[in-house]
Amino acid sequence: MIDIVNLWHHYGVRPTLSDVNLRIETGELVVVMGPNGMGKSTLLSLVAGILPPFKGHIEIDGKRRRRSIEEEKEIRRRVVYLPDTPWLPVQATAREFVLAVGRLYGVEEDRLFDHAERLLKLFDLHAVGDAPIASLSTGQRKKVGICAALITDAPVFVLDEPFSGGLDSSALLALQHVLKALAARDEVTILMAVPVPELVDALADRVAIIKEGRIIACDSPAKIRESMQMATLGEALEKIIHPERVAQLDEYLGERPR
Amino acid sequence: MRLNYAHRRMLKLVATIIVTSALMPLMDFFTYRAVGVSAYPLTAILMGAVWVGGAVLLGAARVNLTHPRLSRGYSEWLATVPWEYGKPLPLGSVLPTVFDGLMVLFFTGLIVLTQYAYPAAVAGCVVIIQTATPEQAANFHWIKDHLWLAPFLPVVAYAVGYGSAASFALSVTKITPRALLVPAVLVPLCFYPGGPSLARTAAVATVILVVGVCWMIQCLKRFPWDAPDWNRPIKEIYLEASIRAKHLGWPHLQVGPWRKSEDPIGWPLKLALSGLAAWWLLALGEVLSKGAWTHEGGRPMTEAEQAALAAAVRASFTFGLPCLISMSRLLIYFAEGSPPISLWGRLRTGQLVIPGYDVMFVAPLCILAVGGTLPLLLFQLNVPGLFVLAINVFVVLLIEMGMGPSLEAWTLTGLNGRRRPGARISSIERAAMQGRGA
Repeated sequence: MIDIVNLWHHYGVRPTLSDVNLRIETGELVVVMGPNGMGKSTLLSLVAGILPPFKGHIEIDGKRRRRSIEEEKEIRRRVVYLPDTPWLPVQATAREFVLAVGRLYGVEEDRLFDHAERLLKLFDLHAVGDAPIASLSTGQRKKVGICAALITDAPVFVLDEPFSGGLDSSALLALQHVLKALAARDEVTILMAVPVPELVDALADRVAIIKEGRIIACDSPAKIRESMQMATLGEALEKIIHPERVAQLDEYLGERPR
Repeated sequence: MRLNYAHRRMLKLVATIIVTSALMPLMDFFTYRAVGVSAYPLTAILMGAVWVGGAVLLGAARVNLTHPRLSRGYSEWLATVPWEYGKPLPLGSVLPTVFDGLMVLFFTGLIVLTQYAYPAAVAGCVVIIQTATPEQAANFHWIKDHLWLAPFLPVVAYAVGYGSAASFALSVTKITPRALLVPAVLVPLCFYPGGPSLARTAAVATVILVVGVCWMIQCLKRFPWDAPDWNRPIKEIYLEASIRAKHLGWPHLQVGPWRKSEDPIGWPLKLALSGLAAWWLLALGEVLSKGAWTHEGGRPMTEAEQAALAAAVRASFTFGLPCLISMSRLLIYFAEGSPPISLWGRLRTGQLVIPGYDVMFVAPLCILAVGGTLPLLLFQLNVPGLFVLAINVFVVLLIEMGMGPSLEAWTLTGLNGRRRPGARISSIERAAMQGRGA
């Protein structure tokens, strides 16, 4: 379970997050959505431990981040974070990196090697698994980052835009299915930021909509659609986040010379 | 005597040392031809340093090449054959042999010969001088008077290298991890008290050598070693060799379950390390006081001048070292985490102090405060300058290592962020000021 309590954060003067409260139960998959620059990545960074909260706190499975060395270490063993652009050791091979991350998280050796092989096959990296990461394309590098996160078998995944970064359709589908399967397991909790509503609709247990540093709505995709009386999640989100957008579109298109 | 694998490797190293040292006269020659100024006696000093350093390296290489504990492959293979202590080691004896004597004799001969051919002698930091100008020669007055020490230095250097490596081999078996403390404690005795002394140096080298050999025998008797990484699966060894955890990078290195190995240093070790630093400073200070400033521009300095100069240098170290130590701690902490809010943000929001982050400034400030006031107090008590320097560094290092928060505690529980690789604080702050934090 991830419990975010009265969370504030600012880099400079303007608060990036203001009094955010969100509870994600164990076994849930929650997607954070919202306009660019509104605090999605900051929220995920705070949950992942990359940033310290200015006020408030985060508890993961009953342990509070940064309260004590022991609790923080315990949390680190249980949480894996995939940033939107993960750093990769370009001189190492994909296989080496994935294995090393698995080992970091204490995955047992027998499972580690087997799991790595299956992941590399699933994401079409098997043929290039022994080539240096420097020789891989942008999309392949993103896949390596995803494989490295998935191999950890961590019970809590914090994923920042896992579907972006040049993934091909096959990888998008594979990742969707993997996340769905993980979410179906009771012990795995997933918090991720995804900007594409079509991907979210089928995946998320709940969608937290964040705007100007505040969570303005948090419910299942179906309920959000229903409450906004829209057919798709994208339209519903647009109505919540940018109620003025339809009028702006009409205005813009109406002024164009025909 | 038949040359084995280790001997051949050492001879290659000897050849490298000779070629490197031979470059010095060449450098001197070309400098003179190119700009009309001789690089001598700098080249002579470097030549001597290469020989003495080379002798230390050779001594260490001698142990490294033959001690099975220092080679995973060798020791793993050795465990599969019926070797036990008492039988000859397949790659040659790790204990001193005739070959070691020849090595030392060779270097001694080299120094004796070149003292006449290319007047460079050696001495802890080396030299000189027959063809130097009188001014240059006078500045190296002390070393010139002790030129007779030079031929003995390879013996001492080889023994120190050999004994230290032997102690190190012992320490990696975890029989006694403090084994290296013996050479670390004894070496300054070569210079302190009363400046360099051949008798003490010989005694120190003998003790280091004897202790090293005794421990090496003890280490070999315990074969096979019960080290924690013994008999690890080959897959794991391959993995470790191909990529180490420290190469995992961002964000796994920063927020993953593994962090830089920070073996907590207990207070006994903190005291020992601080004491060692003070002890070495005492010895080095003694060398500099006795030998370095007896002449200025060829003119012998009066005792008062020497004392004044030595006091000034000591004072600069006494007050300068705490500044450096304080700075080093700050830099280490700065590298580990960035502040939660920019300086501009602090000023604008009025939150000038953020205890969760700013606590890391306390120890460096204490170092500066103590490092600045303790010497004044000691000077008032008429404590000799060299002791003031040593005591000050001892206390300051204790604060550096002992005062909280530890790096681990601060990074895991403090209000600090983890920087992305390549991210510069200026760009982060700029983005923050423009309200583009997310």
